[in-house]
Parts: sequence; structure tokens; C-alpha cells
Amino acid sequence: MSYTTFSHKATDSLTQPMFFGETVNVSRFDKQKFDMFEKLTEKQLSFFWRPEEIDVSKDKIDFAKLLDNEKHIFISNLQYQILLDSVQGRSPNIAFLPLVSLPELENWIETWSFSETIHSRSYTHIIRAIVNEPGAVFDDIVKTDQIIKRADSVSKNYDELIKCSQAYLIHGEGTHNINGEDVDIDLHCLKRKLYLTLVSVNILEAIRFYVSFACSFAFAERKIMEGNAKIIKMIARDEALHLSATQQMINLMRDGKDDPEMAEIAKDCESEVVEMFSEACQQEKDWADYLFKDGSMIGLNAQILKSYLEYITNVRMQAIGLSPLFPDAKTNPLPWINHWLDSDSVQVAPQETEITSYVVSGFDSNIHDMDSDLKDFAL
Amino acid sequence: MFRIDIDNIDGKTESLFVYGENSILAELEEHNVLINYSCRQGHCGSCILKLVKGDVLHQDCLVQLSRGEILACRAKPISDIKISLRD
Repeated sequence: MSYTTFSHKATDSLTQPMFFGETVNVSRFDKQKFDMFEKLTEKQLSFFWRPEEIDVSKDKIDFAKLLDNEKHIFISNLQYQILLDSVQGRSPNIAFLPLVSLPELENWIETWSFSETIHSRSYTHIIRAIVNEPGAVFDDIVKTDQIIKRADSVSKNYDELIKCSQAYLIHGEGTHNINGEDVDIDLHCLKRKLYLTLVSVNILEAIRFYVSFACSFAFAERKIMEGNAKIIKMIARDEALHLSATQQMINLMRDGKDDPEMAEIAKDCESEVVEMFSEACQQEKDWADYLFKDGSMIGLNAQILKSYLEYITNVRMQAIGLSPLFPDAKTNPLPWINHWLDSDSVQVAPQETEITSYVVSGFDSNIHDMDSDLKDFAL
Repeated sequence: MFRIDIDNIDGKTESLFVYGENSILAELEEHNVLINYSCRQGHCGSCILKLVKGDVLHQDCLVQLSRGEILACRAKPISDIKISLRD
């Protein structure tokens, strides 16, 4: 397999695996192997929003009144989200697009990555509104050890996959010298790296983001920094869609519904995947300690955030068929967060609410004698 | 109010009384009946339940549901209902 932007080979995408089959040539959506990705793309497009639509002017007044430790929590939290969306705004395109073989999945990856760039733009919108020198906030991101440590963790699987898949696409299988290092590359090891990268992305979007969401929503529960929370709510709505997509990909691979070799790889990698969840959870707990190092805020402290982390890690692991890591963390210690995460809380137009066949008679259209208001009515 | 009869979910067989304003998932969580979920928006299909009896208002979702299946995160009761886990 070598990459070409438009292969002349006629292939039936219904017979291709999600990744490492023939490269996509015609972007066609008339027939789809996994129509779930088409539905995800349509949903993401229907979610389109721009940060400028949300007024954050009151947040400047609120931010000025925050205690110093609360300012640290708020800004550090935003800086971390900036890092995560910077990674997600480019990496799915670079890592997955050269390997993808289904048009509907290619389209989803492009739509997914684009939506992450809107998130990045919204952080600039928030920071411009609340601080006088936005540049300092951005400059500090690469100078903060706690953020850099986690940047390495979220990008290492991506970088490894990109390095090896680029070598594979140019030179094929074999031992290649990359930056002075001999690297053995074969299709099986690349598929393994792809699987682990998808898990790492799922952890990023389904666990790491939710730590930040909890902090942003905790401020808004106190009726402060509400413009920020409105933006984060839109981001959370997008991320719920993204995490469903990576879960779908992982589950299709695990269940052998796509590439049978991937099912074997998923089985072989299971303990490594569990270790990735465990490691990410611990890193986020360390981050919680850093956030609250100068003191707690009303409604949230390091201990509650750590309990939430254990709970959400369990939820995400169960969604991809793994046993929960923390058997005691069965209930959500931050039940109020669901008010912000449930889609009902995001206003929808009535026509977007589909009434299915489960609905019985909506209203009674019969007119009875007792309806006295209509007694004199005549056509 | 509507009655939600729970048939052996999370080891519980009991009845809840709800106003029908919240999703079935939210009502179950409120009453400490725990089921799998993930996205809470009807995309992932983690919270599929079987609607044994009654009617629900079901918002749109991306998941292919079989007859008698509902997503707990997208459905609200509009009559007394009975729910169980999917076979």
C-alpha cells in the first residue's frame, strides 16, 4: 500500500476494511459499509456553531472578582483544553487520513478534526474577553511542566503511528532507518499502533476532557463565568459525538466486524489498553492536585474530582467492553454535571425532536357537548 | 405522574414514580439504578433498554434500534412503562 491522492483502481469500498485497505479514490456516499460514520458526520454538521455567537463579556467582570486560587484553576483548566484541542485539531487528519479506506470514515475524520479547530478558536475568544494580555496565557502553555507532561502522554501514540505509517507508505515493510534509528515496520505492528492510538484518542476525548468540563461547569453552577460554560457546553456536545465515534471504531475492531486481524490485536493488547486507562486516570488525578494546589473552590475540590475521574474511567472502559478499574466508584460524585452534559439542556428546535412510533395519541381532536366554548361555532 | 416498573436492572426489580420531564437514564440515576451509558446524546448505544410495556417519547438518535428497544438517554415516559435490560 502506497499513498496516492486518487487511485485509478476500481475498488468496492463495501469490501474494504476501515483502515489499511485500498486508498479512497471517489468520495461517494451512495453506498456505505458503516453508515454510522455518515450519521456522525451529518450530526456534527448540524451542530455547527461559532464562538462569537456566545457573549462572554460578563465573564471579564466575574473573572476579576475570582480569588487567586480560583483564577489559577480557571486559567490552567483552559490552558489544558487548549493543548488537547490543538492536538485534536490536526492529528486525526495527519494520522488517520493516509490509512483510511472507507469514504464515509474519511469524511467523518475530516469533519471531526475541523470541529476541533472551532474549539481552539473559542478558547482564544474566551481568553481575549477575560484577560488584558491573552498572549501570556498561551505562552505559558509550553512552559508549564504539568501541561507538558500530559502533552507527551496524549501525543506519543499519534507520533509513533505517524512516524511508522509514513515510513511504511513510502518504503513499505522492512527495517528502515528513521532519524538514525533502525525501525522494523510491518503491517501487523502498524495495525497494533493504530488500535492503541484510537484507544489513546478515546481516553483523551472521553476522560481527559471531562476533567476540564467539570471545572468549567462548577464555576457556572455558582452563576459565574457563565459565558465560558455556554461555550464549554457546546464543546462537550461535540466531544460526546467524537467519543462515540472512537468507541464505534474500537468496538467494530474488537468484535471482528471489520478486519479479523484487528480482533486478534484487540485481544492481545487488552492488558496494555487497561494500563493506558489506569495511567491516564493517575495523570489526571495528579493534575487535579495541581489545579487545587492553592485551595479548593465552592462545589469542587481535588478529592471530589479524583472520585469523578474514577467513576468516568469506569464508564468509558465499560463502553468498549472492558471491566471497570475501580469497582467501588459506582455512582457519580458530581451528579449536577449531567445537567450540563445531557443533550436536552442544549436548546433544540421542535422540528429536531423526532417523534417515533412509540408516541400514542398526541391530543384528543374530538369535540364533545361539554366543550361549551365551541357551542356557537359554525362553519 | 408515571410509574416506571424496573424488571431486574442492576439487580433491582422495583417501581419508580416520575413526572416524565427527564430522560429515563436521568431518572434511573436519580434512583440509584445504574446502567451502562456513555455519550448521553443518543450516539453511542451504550444505554439501550427494552421497553416491555407502555409508551415513551423518543428523541432522534444515531443508533439502529430494534422493535421494542429504546435509548434510556433519549426516551421519556408518556405513560406507565415497564423496562428491562436487552436480551
